[in-house]
Amino acid sequence: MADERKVNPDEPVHEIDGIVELNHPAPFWWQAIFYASIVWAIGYAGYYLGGSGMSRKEALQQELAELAAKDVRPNASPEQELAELKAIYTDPNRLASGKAVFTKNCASCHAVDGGGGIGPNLTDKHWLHGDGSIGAILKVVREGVPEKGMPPWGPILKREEVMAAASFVRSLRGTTPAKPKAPQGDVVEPKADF
Amino acid sequence: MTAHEKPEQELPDLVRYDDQTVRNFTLATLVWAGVGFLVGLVVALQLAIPALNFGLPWLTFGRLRPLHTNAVIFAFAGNAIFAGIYYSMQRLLKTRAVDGLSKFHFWGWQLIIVSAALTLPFGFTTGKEYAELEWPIDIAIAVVWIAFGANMISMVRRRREPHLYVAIWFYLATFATIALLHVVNSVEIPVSFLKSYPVYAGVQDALVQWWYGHNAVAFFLTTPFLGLMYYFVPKVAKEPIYSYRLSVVHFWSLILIYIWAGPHHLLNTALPEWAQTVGMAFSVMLWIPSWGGMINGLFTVRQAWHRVREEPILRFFAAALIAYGMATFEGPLLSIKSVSALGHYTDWIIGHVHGGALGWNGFLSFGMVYFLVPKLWGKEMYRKSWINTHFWLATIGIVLYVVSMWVAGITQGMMWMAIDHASGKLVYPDFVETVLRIVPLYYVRALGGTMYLAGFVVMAVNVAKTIASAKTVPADETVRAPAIFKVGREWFQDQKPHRILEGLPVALLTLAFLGVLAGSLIELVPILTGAAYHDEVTWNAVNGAAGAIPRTYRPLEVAGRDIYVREGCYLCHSQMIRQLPFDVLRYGPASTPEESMWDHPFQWGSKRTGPDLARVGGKYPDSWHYRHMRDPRDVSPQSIMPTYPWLYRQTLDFAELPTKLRALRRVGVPYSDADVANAEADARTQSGEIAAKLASDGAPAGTETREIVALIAYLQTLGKMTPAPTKVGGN
Repeated sequence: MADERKVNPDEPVHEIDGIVELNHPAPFWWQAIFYASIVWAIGYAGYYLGGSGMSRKEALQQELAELAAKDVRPNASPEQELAELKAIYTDPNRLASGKAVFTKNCASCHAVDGGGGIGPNLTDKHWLHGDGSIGAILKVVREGVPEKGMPPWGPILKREEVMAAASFVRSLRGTTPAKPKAPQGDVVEPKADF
Repeated sequence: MTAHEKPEQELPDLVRYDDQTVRNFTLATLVWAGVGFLVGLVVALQLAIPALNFGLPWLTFGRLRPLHTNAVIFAFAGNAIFAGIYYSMQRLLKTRAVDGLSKFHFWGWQLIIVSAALTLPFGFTTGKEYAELEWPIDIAIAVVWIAFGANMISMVRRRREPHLYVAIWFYLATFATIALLHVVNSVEIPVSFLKSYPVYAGVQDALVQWWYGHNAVAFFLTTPFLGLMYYFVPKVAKEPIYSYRLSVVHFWSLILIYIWAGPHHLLNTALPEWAQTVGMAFSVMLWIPSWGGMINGLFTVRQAWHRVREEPILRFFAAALIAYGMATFEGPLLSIKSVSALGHYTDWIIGHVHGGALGWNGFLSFGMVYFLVPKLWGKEMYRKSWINTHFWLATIGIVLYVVSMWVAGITQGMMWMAIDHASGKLVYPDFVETVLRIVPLYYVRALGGTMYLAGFVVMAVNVAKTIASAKTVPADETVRAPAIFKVGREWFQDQKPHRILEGLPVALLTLAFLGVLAGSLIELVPILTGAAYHDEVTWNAVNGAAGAIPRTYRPLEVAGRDIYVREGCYLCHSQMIRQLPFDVLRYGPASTPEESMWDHPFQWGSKRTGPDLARVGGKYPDSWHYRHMRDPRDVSPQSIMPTYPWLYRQTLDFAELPTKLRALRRVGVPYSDADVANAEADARTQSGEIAAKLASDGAPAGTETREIVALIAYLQTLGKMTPAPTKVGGN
């Protein structure tokens, strides 16, 4: 430092209460970045405020459209979906993955064993929405019952997760939970089922 | 100039500095630092171990977090600023502060801090971050602050030095801007002695609040500390300030650019986009002016680099300047819209502010205290080696703190953003999963905080021992000085313009104030006046669609909202779904400005320790909320949210509701006379309905008088106040 001050022999310019001020020029890089940031800021703000840049709202619409395009259900007829559900239902491994989805997302209201709590008991023969058939269960899981506080899981979970969870719920029918909630809804027999 | 040429004994005046005020502020700095750091450690541990609220309202995160921030910012940093300013300013101006004002300032400020400590844990809060104190305390702050300013103005007018040193420019800018920020942000209508509603709502309140919040960092934690740096660093380094002209450029560029940057706290939100663009552009421009202060300080220290090894105070200062440089690089980085999309609402922000607060404000204050104590009590520090111990404990503590929060914030932010490419769905739709991933880092952070606190304890003991060893308090320092300076015509000759300005303090103060005011007005006024977010008539005129206006809150929902604010829910839950695809996938259509147009105060929040609540209304049944608030782990086994058992015991004050509605009407919420008259009856009806539903789902009878019912009523309105937005991106 001492050497540098010899090459750049700036004299003290002021002194106050024992504090001396030198007067080195601001470092070149500091000035250069400062001017560059001002130029950039004017360009950036001009681009967006002038209307040339795409607004975040517009960009969001595009991004969401792209995502929605990915989220198309395979062109499956109800019969094909039923067959798919049956394949899950009869495969212990895939049913176990349905149980994992259920435990993570559904158990807080329906209990781990489906005995119910905040939401209804899923093990008995009483059903509030639909006839308890696998198709009706899939519809409720996928689309929810918003007025009753059952969220739609279709937009949140992947298609195969929704299918696996529905199959698992179907498998709970007739099991004996630890603390069963009192029955709600009518006793119905599942019609379109497997 | 001529004064210095005379031998000292020939100088006409004898000036006795007021060192007692400096001593008082120094001790207060240490006392409140202890309180602020300890509360910080408690809240840090509570995030890892929710049971640590012990089921007590005044020990719960939402109540203690404002206590922590207010204690460290306004009590610890505030008292440190005042200690340093009274010490340096008297000496830089060769004049004594006004005794009466100094005493009033000291005791007034301590009283404000005590009243903060006695109100915040008990739920008296405005619900606006860093401005939580209720209206009587706000008035007291304004009065005491003006006394502080008057004291400084009196000193510069009675100065015995012709020019103001750069430190004093920073002090004066601090005074003027904080006065403006505090007054504008705190305009509120009282409901009762310790409850008020801000006049601003929704978007407007958000903009004003973050204009305030950001510039409180600028003008309470940056400018006054830069002033202290300019005084104490050359004193300890015993070296000249590197560059006068750099100090001129970075002073003006810093204050004039800083004031515009507030909207970077609201990027990708419902704030009009032009304000976001302006906020981001100015934030990026702010990087280099901030670094001007750092390089002037570091280059000053560098002249005595070898002494950094042997002088621990200088080591604190060098580390403080490096921390300042890191934080002021990180700030502009986080202000870039796409970086903010990742970092906002995460612990990255917590890491960022603590890098600044612990490193820059903390270390500069500690160094200053170690410098001042021997001077003020006439004794060397009890153990000089302990200063070194303090330094290393605190430095390792900061590294653990900041690094753990960087990792936590970036990890969680990336989990929130992750979208599965094949299905277009979120990879981690379960919020709790993203929390669990970072809980181990909360322990690391708490360890860092513990080390920082331990270092502080070493300091406190060292200072206490030093003071105890001083049998008597030394007399005030007295110096011979020239006569009081008077600006004469000949004085203007042969001076550069800025040098003249340094001799005209009121002009300098006025210029700084006008510069800051201009930036504020240009940014705030269009949204405060022209936009359509504050009354139905304007909204209809501009948008032509009366249907989209939110309904007003029913009285019980108002009561519930006040509980939400009282418990500090906004400190962990945002109510702002950003214009970002992963926010929309997780929480629903982006929030619109009109959705919060009746929200006094706005509750957009700044952190998502828990999920966003903007559209939580109707998502769960009432009984879910009933069980969740009593014990969150009952319905969400791995939740880290505290329990709120008192909401099930405390009864609602129904009789107060007409007063609340009247106050809200005064700030612009269109309640009719009938609404006010029926407030109590309507609230009882609504609470009866909710209680009946709860009872049918297994809750005990009699909940209709309990606070929990009001809170549930409020939560169920969120996102339900307007007709459902048709477009997912909002309208």
